[in-house]
This record gives sequence, C-alpha cells and structure tokens, in this order.
Amino acid sequence: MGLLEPVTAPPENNNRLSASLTENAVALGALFSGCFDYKTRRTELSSARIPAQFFFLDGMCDNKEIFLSITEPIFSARSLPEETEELFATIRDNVSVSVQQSELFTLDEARDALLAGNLLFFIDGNSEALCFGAQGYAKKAIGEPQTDMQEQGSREGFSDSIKDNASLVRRRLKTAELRLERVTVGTGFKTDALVCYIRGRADARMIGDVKERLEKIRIDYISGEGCVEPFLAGKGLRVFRTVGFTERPDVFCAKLTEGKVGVIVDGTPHALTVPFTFIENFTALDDYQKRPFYALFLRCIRILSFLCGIFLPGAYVAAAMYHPEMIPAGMLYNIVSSVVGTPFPVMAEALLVHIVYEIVREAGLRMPRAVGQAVSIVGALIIGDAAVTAGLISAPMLIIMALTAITSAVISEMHDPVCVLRLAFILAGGTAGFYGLFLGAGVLLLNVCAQEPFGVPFTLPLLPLRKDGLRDSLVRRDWRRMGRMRFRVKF
Amino acid sequence: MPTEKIPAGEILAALFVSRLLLSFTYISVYGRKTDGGEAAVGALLALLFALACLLPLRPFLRTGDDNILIRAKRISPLLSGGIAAVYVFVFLFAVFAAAMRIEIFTGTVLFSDNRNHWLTMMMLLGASYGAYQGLRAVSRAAIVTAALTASGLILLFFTVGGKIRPENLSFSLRDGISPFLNKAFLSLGGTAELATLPVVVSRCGVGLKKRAPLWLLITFICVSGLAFFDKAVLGSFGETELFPIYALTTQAKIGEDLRLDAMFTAIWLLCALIKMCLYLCVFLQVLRDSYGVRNKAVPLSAAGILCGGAVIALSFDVNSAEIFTSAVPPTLFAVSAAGIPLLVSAAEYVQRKRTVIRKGELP
Repeated sequence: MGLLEPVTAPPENNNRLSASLTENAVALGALFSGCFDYKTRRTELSSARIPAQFFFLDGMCDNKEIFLSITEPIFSARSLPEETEELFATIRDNVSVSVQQSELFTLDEARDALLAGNLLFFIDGNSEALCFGAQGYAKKAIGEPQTDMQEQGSREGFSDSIKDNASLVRRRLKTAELRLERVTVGTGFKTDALVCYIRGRADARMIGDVKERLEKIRIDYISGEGCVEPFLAGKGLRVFRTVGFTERPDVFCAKLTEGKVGVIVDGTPHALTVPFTFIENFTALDDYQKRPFYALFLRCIRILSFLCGIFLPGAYVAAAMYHPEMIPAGMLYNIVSSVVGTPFPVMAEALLVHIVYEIVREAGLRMPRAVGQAVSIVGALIIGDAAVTAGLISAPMLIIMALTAITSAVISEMHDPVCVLRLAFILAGGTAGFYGLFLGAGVLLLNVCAQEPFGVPFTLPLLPLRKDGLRDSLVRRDWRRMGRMRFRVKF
Repeated sequence: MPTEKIPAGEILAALFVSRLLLSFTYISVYGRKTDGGEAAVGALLALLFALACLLPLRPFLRTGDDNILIRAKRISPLLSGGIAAVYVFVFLFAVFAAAMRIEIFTGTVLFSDNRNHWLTMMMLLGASYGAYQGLRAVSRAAIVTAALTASGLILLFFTVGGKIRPENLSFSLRDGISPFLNKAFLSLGGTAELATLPVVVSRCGVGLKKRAPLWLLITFICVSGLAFFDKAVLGSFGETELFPIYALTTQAKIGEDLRLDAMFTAIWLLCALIKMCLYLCVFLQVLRDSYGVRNKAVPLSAAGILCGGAVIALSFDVNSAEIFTSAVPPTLFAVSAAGIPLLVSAAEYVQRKRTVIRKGELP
C-alpha cells in the first residue's frame, strides 16, 4: 500500500482498525474533524520507508515526555526491520522506552485513548496501534483542602486529577490489598471513576452494589460528585445525606480501613464513601489527633450546634408566640419590649431574617472576591444594625439568627438540610408552638431511623446498639484501646 | 438488603411509650373517681393481671419466623382470616382511640380558643408516613422517644415532688377491695399492647418472651408513679380536671415562674405519634401475613381517612367520644389478648391430637 492510495470509506468489520494507515488516518480525522487540538505527525521508518504516523490531542499530552520516551528513541533507532510486523514488534518491545504502553485494536479504543491524553502510533500495513501514556494536560496542583478544615493533620487535599488522587491514597495505604478499580460513569462523556476498597475488609456484596449503581448512572456529563451521590444513595426521600464526601485523603483512607467503599470521580476534588452513618456528620479528623476527653467535648459542641441550628429559631418563635411562661421573667420583659415595636409577627420576622441571611450567604459564595468586603459591610451594618435601629426587626431575633448562623458554620457540610429544616421548624413552631416542633422532630426522627444505606442502619452504632461501634461514636476511646477493638461496617 | 430481626428492646420501647400515653391522656371525670392511693395501688394490681395475661401469650412469643397469624393459617386459612379481621379492628381502633384522645385534649386544653382538627390530622398524616417507613424505623424512633419520656417523667417527679401533700395520701378500705380491682381492670383494659406481642414476634430478635415481664413491670411502675403523684400533689382537685396528669404538669416549675407543662405535653404528643405509627405498622403486618397484601400506600391511606373521619365526626360530641373510646377497649382487650391466643392454642392442640390419632391408625 502506498502513501497516496485513495480511500473512500473508514475501516469496516466492527470498528476494527484497518491495516491501511491512510484509512485509519481518515477515520480518526473524521471523528475529530474541525478540532484545533487534533494533531498528527507523519513519518517513514526503516530503510524500507514504511509510513508511520503519530496522533495526539495537543494540550492533553506532555510534549517533553513524548520526545524523551517515544519519538526520540524511535527516530534515532538504527537498523529497524524492513518488514511491517517485525518493525511493529521491535518498536513495541525494544525501541520505545515509555513504561505506559499498550496495543489497540479498534477505532473506539483509539478514540478513547486519544481523548484520555495518550499518544497513538500507527504503522502502515499493521492493523494494531501502539498507545503510549503521555498525559500532560493542565491540572490543578495538590493543595490544601478548601472544605474539611482541620487544625492538625495533613495539609494535602484531593485535586481534580484522578491519577493524582489515586497516588495520594496509594501513598497512605501501602498494602497490596488496596484495590483501585477503574469504572466509567455517565452515558455521554465517559467520566472515569475509581472504586476504592481494601480487600478482606470491605463487604463483597457492598462492592458489587456500588459498581452496579455506578453503572446505572444515566447522565451525560458528570460535573461533580453531586451527580454521582444520588445514584449511590438509592431511592427514597432522604433529609440527610447517606453518602459521605471528603476532600481529605487521610480521612478517605481512614474510612477505607473501616471496611467502607470509596469512589473517586475524575474532575472533582471530593471523594465519596459509603456507607455513611449519621454520627459521622459530627466527627472530624481533629478528634483523632486530640485527647479523648477533648474529642468528646468537641463532638458534644457539634451536636449542640446542629440542634441549635435546626431548633433554636423555631423554639424562640414557639416560646414567644405560644409559651411565654417558659421564658424567664427578666428575659421575657426584654423580649416583649423589643418585639412590641416591630411591624411583623414573630414568625414572619424569623422567616424574613432567615431568608435574608441565606441571600447574604449565597452572595458571599458567588460574588467576586474584590467586592466581598463591600457586601460584608452591607450585610452586617446595614441589614443588621440599621434594621434593628429602624425597628423593622427585634434585637433578640437578630441575636438568635446570628447564633444560628454561627452554629451552622460548625458543621458546614450539613448546611443544606439544616437550612431547610430550620425553615420548616420556624413554620412548625409558629403554627403550633412546641407541639408542632416536637411533632416535626418526630417525623424527622422517623425519616432518619428509616435510612439504611447499603443495608447498614443510618443510626449505627446507637440504633441498633453495636458495642464495637461505640468505641468511636460520641466518645472516642484512647488510641491504645481503639487499636484493640476492631470495627468493621457490616451488612 | 439484610433481614435482621428488630431487637426486642426496641419493640418493647415502642410498647412502653404506647402504654404510657394512655396514662397521660387519662380522663378522670367520667364516673371513675377514686380516693387516696387507690389509683396507684390499682396500677400495681393491673401489673399482676397483665403478667397473668401473658400466660396464654407465652406459647406465641417464641423467637422465630412464625407469629400467631401464620400459625393459625397452618391450621385453617379461615381461622387466620377471622383472627386477622379482629386484629385489624383492634389495631385500627387503638389508632382511632389515641387520635380521639389527642383531639379532645387539643380541643379542650391546648387550643380551646380556636378549635380545629388540623393538629390531630397532621399527627395522623405523620403516623401514616412513619408506618410507611416500616416497623424497624418506628422501633428505633421509639427508643429515642422512650428515653425522652423517661427523662421527662424523672424531671416531672423531681419538680413536683416538693408539692406532695401528705393529707392527699389517704388510704382506706372503706369501700372494700372493689375500687382497686375496678381501677386495675380499667388500667389494663385500655391497652392493645399485649395483643401486639404475638403479631410482631416474627419480626423480633431473641429475648421477647424473657423481656416482656420486665417491660410490664417498668411500664406499670411508671403508670403507678404518675397516679401516685397525681393524687399526692393534686388530691381531689385532680378529679375535677379533664386531664389530671396535664394538670399535674402545670405544677412542674423551675424556680418560681418557669413552667414546663408545654415541654411535657410536647413529649406526650411525640408518644402519641409513635403509638399511632406502631399500630399502623402492625395493622399492615396483619394484612400482609394473613391476606398477602404487600401494598402499603393504599391500606394506610384508607386507615388514615377512616380514623380521621371518625375523629372529626365524634369530636363534636366529646362525651360520646370519651365513653366510646373507654367502653370498647376492655372488650377488645379480652378478645385479642386472651381470647384469640387461647383459641389458636386450642385449635393447635386439636390438630396435634388428630395428627397423633391418624398416625396411630396408619399401618
């Protein structure tokens, strides 16, 4: 076959690569026609001047790596065979110094390899292609986590690159039992994900279940871990998330050692872990770095903050509207004197302040940093102080909402359900007082108790009581004792 | 998904909460006046009677995959169907009775100014949601509720303990033993918890048979304690109140003016929610085990509409409602907690005898 042999159609036979270099080039060219980053480099090898061609996507490959490991050795190789099959084998086995190398047989494989940032090498007369791992796409470096703030411990956080994240995990869990299995999620754009677990600790059924749920993801483009989480969590109304996520590799590895299964999705700096229990919302890595008595104190603070974040505004509204006898007399006089001059009923005032707070918070998240200070001044001084001075809202209500906002920040991962529940309990308290609050709490309790992600009760280890799990629930045992008490998540 | 049994402690916690609610919503003014410590002693006597009522239930409390309905089905599907129909009525009536008491309570005490039914209806809706989540969820929620209730009781006894008046603790036998027995029967008869045990046993882990007496002991001690403090603190004044236990909680204060009755009442409403959830769950289980009904939404909707409609209809005549919800339960108790287990035991005995005779006749 010559270089200029005309070709009118791409390779046939189930997408299998053609032995004709020109046909393969036309087929790949058709797939990436119009793409400015689709590049090829044609050459001739050996004294027989056998045509060969490189294909890659500019920007996805590391040019230095290509030169040093692939093109330079090939071009500078002497005495290459003149027969096509032998030439291919020599380059594959003896010439190329790239350690990431594989063979491709179909057009689909070639396309996927290109899209993954690999360099493809075709030789005319051979129906296989060599794929060299030469990824060098731009990516964010490993830095400090933006969420999951901790006082002590590692400063490394997951990045957007799945390979970097895998290396962070592998570096911490130096065991051959650590499994990082690659799966593809999404129907349109084939996002890579890793299913991570420690063989012998994670339940085999749970691993299979996770893979099955990932395969059933029917979304074109996975923009973040939030797209994957609902499929892992399963059906049913859940107020609180039943899939854990973390930006910290040390936390991720710790959960793997408990027999949990982790999922790392390419392009997101958060890793998911299943199953996730309710008590985990109140644990942090710092608990394990500090003394047990202080860890207990911190966990109590977090639980108290959670309860305040949900119930405090509703309880205030309920007490002010229906149960003033529950407020001490001195405080009651102050509250009454503040409330009496405001134009809104207590419940409406609470809802208004709550919504304004959420608006300010959302603005703080979305706005450019340059104007951040201005918005802070507007939020704090104008909305807070001026509204009270003008008599639009009462000072006790502002104090309650400020306290609630601070307590919400203690467990920022739970902000979504806490925000909505706070609203619901303000309505419940404003409609039926403490009776409405308790009834709402009862329904919430039923919802929480009903969750069983992957067959593991969400309320473990308290309900049902698991003594081995109590080593690290509200109270964290000393490390010397924890090390003796093995806890594994079980079906 | 796992098929782990529900721990017996969780089921019994739900039954504990359910039984206590009956005491919380006890209405005193309908011809059941008692003197001195008769209520407290009556409650303890009720414990003895309840322990005696456990005897016919014991053969049906063995841990396993069978419950009384499945065992009855083996004898005769007609027997199982008939028993299931009685159980459906018993448990739905328990839901209705709890909702009716709460309706009377909210209408006369909590929201006497602007009476409407929405709180009771919201509770029924919440109970239907809870029942839809399943018995496992309800049992777990019951543990938390039981802990809250127990804490509330301790706080209540602690805060009103200083207001006990010795003169209220008159105790005499001038009317003989009959007031005590009367009180004991009424205290026992208002409950459907004993009838629940042989139905839920198939969902229970080990230990239900052993722990049931302990559950009865703890429950009736709490009931007795409530009755004692009611009489000791309020005396004859409590008998003039529609809900004497609620009147007791109005005496619970921290300091001079910080009242806690709203908090206690809110805990009772939570107990009512759990009670209604529990009986709706058991109602669904009866339908599943006897009639093979797997759908939850339709029966729950029907039960909710039926109970809600009955509550609204009877809420306009509080006297009739109270009499109805007080007169029917003792009969239902006798049938469900004693009659049905004895009937099924007798039927099993007859079947065993026939089998032995047939085996004896075979060559």
